[in-house]
Amino acid sequence: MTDITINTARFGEVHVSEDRVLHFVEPILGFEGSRRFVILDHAEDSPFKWLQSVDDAELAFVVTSPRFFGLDFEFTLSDEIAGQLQLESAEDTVVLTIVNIPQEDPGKMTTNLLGPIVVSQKVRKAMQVVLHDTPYSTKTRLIPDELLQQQPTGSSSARKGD
Amino acid sequence: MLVLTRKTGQKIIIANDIEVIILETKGDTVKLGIEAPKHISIYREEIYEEIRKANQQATEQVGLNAINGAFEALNLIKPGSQRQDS
Repeated sequence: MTDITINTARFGEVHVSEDRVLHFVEPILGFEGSRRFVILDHAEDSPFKWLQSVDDAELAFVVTSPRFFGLDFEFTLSDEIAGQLQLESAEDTVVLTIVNIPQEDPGKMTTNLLGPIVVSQKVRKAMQVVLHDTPYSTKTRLIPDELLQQQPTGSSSARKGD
Repeated sequence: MLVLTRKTGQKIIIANDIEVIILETKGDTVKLGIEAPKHISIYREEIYEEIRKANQQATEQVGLNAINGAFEALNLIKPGSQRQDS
């Protein structure tokens, strides 16, 4: 399999094997011009990955697996969508969700459980699936406030300036 | 905009292969049935808009600082799992 070179705004030129390219059978909503993406690692042990467009250097999303964060996330795919993605089995299916990270406060990151990205590994097809009649939201916190508050805010140096 | 008046049970045909039927009306609520080829995506407008906006927001300005910040926040709240005790 030949390598392709992808121009990216964040990582410069990236070389990946052609068989790693995901083809979106439906566009990610709002980004109709980009149908080809690759998944790039973030860092060792990181639960995050980059979903980088092959067609648009600027376009990249941070994605994750909600399961890593202990989120109870389940949905049923319609036969139509399973057919479009040529999904064969649960093992063949990868579910990722887009993460929205506020610049000023990354701990308050949220993820979009209403529009998960479903990938059919074998045939490298993907789609942002819009779930119907579910309780899931586009802004589900990955780290709840209770856990954030446990952060050691500067350890023992709580008093400052006096 | 084309405006059509329909009664319950009546249909509209779009481009030969999409059928919209009025199933029920109750007060200001209309229940529609839509029959379309499987490659046609159908969304409730507000949900479509919400996801489109969420996508837009997620990619705007997202850079290495943001993802690294998120990763660090994660290490802080998971005592023992990824923290390195020196």
